[in-house]
Amino acid sequence: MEKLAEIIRTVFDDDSVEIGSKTTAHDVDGWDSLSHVNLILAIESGFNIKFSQKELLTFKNVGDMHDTINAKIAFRGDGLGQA
Amino acid sequence: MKRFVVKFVLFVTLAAGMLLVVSSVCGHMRTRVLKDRVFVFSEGITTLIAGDSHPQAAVNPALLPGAESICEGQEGYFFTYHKLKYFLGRNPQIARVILGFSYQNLARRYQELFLSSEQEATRLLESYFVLLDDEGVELLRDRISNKRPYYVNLLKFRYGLPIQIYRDKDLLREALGAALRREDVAFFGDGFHKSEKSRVEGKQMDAKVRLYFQDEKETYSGVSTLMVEYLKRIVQLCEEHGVDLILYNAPLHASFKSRIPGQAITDFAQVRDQLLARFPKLHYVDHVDEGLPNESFGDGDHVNSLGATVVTGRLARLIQLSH
Amino acid sequence: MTFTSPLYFLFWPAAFLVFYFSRDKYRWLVLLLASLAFYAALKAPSLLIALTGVTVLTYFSGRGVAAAMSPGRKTLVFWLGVTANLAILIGFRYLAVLIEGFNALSGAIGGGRHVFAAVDPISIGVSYYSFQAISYLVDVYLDVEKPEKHFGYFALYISFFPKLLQGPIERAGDFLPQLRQPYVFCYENVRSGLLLFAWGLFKKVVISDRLALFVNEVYGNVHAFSGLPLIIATYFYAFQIYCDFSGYTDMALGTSRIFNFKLTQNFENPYRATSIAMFWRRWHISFSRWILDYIFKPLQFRFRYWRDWGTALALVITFLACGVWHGATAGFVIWGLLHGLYMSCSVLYRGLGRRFRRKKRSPTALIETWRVIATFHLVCLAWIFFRARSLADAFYVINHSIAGLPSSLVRLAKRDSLVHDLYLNQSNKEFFLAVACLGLLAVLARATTAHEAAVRAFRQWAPGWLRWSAYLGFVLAVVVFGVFYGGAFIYFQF
Repeated sequence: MEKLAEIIRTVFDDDSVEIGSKTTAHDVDGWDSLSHVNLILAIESGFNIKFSQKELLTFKNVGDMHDTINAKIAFRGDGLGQA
Repeated sequence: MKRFVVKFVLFVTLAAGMLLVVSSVCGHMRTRVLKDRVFVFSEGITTLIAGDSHPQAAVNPALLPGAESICEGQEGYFFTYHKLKYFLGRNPQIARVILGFSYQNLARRYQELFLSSEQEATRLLESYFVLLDDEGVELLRDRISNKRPYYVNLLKFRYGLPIQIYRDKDLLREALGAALRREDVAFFGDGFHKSEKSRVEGKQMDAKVRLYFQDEKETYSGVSTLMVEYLKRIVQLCEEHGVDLILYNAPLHASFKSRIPGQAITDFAQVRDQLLARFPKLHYVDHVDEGLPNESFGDGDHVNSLGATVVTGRLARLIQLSH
Repeated sequence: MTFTSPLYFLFWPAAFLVFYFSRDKYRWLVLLLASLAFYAALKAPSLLIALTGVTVLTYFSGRGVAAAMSPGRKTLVFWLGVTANLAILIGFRYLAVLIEGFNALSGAIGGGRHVFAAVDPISIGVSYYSFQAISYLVDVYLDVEKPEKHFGYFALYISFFPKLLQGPIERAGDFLPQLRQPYVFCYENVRSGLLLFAWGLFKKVVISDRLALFVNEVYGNVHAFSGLPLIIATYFYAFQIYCDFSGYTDMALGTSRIFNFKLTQNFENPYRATSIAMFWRRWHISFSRWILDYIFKPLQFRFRYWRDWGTALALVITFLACGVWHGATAGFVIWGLLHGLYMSCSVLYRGLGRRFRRKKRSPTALIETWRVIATFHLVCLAWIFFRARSLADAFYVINHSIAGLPSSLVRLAKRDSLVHDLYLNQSNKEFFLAVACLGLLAVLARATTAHEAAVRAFRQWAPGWLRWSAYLGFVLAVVVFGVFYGGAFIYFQF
């Protein structure tokens, strides 16, 4: 979770915002549907995973993203730490 | 729920009551307007000039003894009939009416536009509805294609609903107790159009002829039986009131006349001949080809006040001679 | 019938009474029958066929998608459902235009013919409920929603009469659960619903239709005008379409509230937006959310490796689709394209700005005001293409608004052409009324919390007679100031 939170803070240039599993786009300044894609790209490169279209359309909050990321890492058998 | 229904019914009743009260006040004022002295001409006025923009431009009442013009642009016989009925009723001293009678007065598409075009209907009905008799109202109801302007004006003028009353200068002045003037009444008519401007232009004439005589398919639209019917009624109306009726065909620029479809001229002549045969006391004056110079024409189908001076003078002499 | 026809004022009380006195089990049926009757009153049987088609096809597709065993089959059923809906939509909306387009293709460069004047009744509503059906299918496909098994509820979801003709486009997750709530008469809902409906009626009949007098005069014959009147007409149109559509939305929301249904709000002070992106979050919200979720997001995701350029491309395509949804003429397409370009520019600009901007400073009031004005003008520029009868007319308006402005102002200063250039050939009283209406809108738009508190206080504490006088005055105002001819809702044609 911490790594994900770090990425979010970097992409939206806001070090002070609190990121929890219930956080949504509303809570972070500058995070809207237009800039959302930048976050996705940063996460994909940061965790070396690829999201699917379907997954993307169903994320409701940071917690959803976190679960999906973990699932993908686990599936890869990478085991390189938690998100 | 019961509380709501009671309140709702109460509100609707109150609203209806309020509208009823306001409507009767407005209706009462409209009746008062129609009884106003503004519609009564002085005893010396014995000739009325009526019709659309053609007699409006061509006949100068100042040059005829005891004349007054109540012409208004685009006024067709359906409306002129009701208007004359009203004015003759208020002015028993009138002995003569000069009515515009030209080719476009019988053109079906142009004259019946108020039945098919919502814009035209709105404009004309707003002004003349108050004059219509029951038969006229029924005719509208049956023949108008878009019923909305009909219903709105019916509610407004027959039932007094205060729809857009801020537009009715006559009503507002009546309410304030101020004297009515001619320009406050929508249907009165602007009267003689005084202007010396002259601009006869080919494209404009083409557009006008198209507007008057052609329908959507760009063919001659024929004669309006409705207008012929109401013209007959005007003739009968004048007979009833013992009034001399002169049908006046105002001057047209030669190049305008040449643009009119030949069939329209033939149809016009037919109607004219039928009328003259049926009503022997009817007069017809043809000033279409008076040979006026270009400067006397405001545009292709209207003279300006220079031309009006000439033809009114000729008309005056004709009237004198026939007595 | 439409919301402004007299018949509707008999219809909904009757529907409500039957609804109220029915057993809760059957209330959905009452509403469904009422909705079908409402749609049937338009006297276009083909519409009922479209509605039935969309309902039946989507219902079975939804259940099919959820029941599908393999992902492949799931996708197949999903796309079949979507395609069927699109086919119905295109068939009803664009067939005539497509055929015409083929014929006119050769000489069509001067701009498309604008089918504006008469509303084509053959397709009212189809665009809205077919989009709604597609959103339902996507939600089922993505496992966001479970498919609705109760056919009656589903049919009502598609055809509920307040939103049948012009939206809002409801998401399944918002609407279907409400059907399962038992109905309890709520006085406050009925009352506030009626008030909302009345306000929507006022916006439509008094404000929008009045502004239409001016707009139609100018846009019906643009070459007769130059300079100021073109500008006035364009500004008036911006508010005409806003009042028309938000008025309809208020009537829809108000009516449904009477039945205890909450529909999504379509408008939120759109002209106070400080950017085009914000504008689209406040204008026709249910529709812009639809194109955001179902066109933009998938496209943006697909193009994500092109970063900002990918987003920009996704935006342009999305708004082109938006334009085409409104109509297949050049005017609508350019309108959509303009908005797509506006959005793309802002995305690209933001990307640039991110590299140079140091700290985020909250903008001053002056900058905010400037942004509001600039956004409004960008939107108006696009409206010109939306409203003008042809591309040629639109370019004429743009050219001559600026070019003709100085001379029109000179003419006005000399009081030569007040009626033509300022009042747009209407009576001066109508002009002042129109301006007064806009003033009223401005006051209401600036509603601050203090103002809202005042309104609430009025509703709660003012004695009944005062409140009722206000309501009666309101009724009188609608009768006196309403413009009752020619009043088809603009968004009916979409």
